[in-house]
Amino acid sequence: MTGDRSPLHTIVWACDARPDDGREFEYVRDLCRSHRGLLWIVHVAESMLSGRSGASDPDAGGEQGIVRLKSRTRSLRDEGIDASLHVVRGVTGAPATAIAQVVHQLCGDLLVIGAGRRDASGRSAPGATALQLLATVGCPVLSLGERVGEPTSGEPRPR
Amino acid sequence: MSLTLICYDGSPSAQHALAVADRSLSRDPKVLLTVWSAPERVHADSFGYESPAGGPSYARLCELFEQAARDSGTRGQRLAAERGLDVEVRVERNRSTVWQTILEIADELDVEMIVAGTHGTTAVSSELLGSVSAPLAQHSRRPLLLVPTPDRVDGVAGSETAAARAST
Repeated sequence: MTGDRSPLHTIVWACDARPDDGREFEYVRDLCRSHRGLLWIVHVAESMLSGRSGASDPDAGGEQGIVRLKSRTRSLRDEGIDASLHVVRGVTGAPATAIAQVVHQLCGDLLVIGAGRRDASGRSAPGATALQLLATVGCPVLSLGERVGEPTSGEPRPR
Repeated sequence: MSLTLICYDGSPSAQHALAVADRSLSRDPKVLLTVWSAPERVHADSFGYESPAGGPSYARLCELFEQAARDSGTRGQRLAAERGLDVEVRVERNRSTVWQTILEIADELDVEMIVAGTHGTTAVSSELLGSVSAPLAQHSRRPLLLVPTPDRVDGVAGSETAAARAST
């Protein structure tokens, strides 16, 4: 390694493979393009203790979601981004703990987490996993809000 | 043109967030926001009359608090300048809660991203998110970059990481 190492050399995207995460995907792709860093897409397929299961959770992608993540990983590599997919299976505990361990093992410089799931009012908020990650992971965490990818003017709005 | 809003209260966590913003983000314009809260009116009676007993008036106290916030913002701006980062300083009085004020300013400026430390000057525990960062994480609809305190990076979770990086 040289001194030219990007500050965001290793970006970890904790992804729950929801079908509607297209804007998050595009944001992460642009982030990797601008920093020319490694991208690890990390997905916890199931958690035996929490009962979270891709197969039974309608919001999670399940095995189809993993197939989609593989396809996305390939498309990123085709674009020249050094992307890899890491699927964690058989977790016996909180998914956040497993994700934090992976981030630590990969020496992640930045953890990207999604916008969370929508509540009854249609707003999305980070779930328990995201909040636990924000509080415990030792690297900067980028929480993508529901407005991620929306164009901004950068100009003050009229009051 | 996209803006980045950096929340700054002068704490080590905020200073670290500023450094990470410098290293990690693009050269888009950045606004360094310092929110100050007015002191409680403990010296006023039920009719609103003050009996400061020789101390500064409430208005003077507010001026002092605001000036302290401005000084903090200026120090942050100087810190950013040392890193070659040009930031605009904005000092705002707390409108309701600090986190709500931050989100309101973010909406007013239509920023693309908010950057904050996980623990500011009011932090009581390193195991939990701070009283500002936690509600920011829950309520921000914009991308939010939360930067842990340096001791968490170097201590709890980052010691092996730091060693590995040092060897590269």
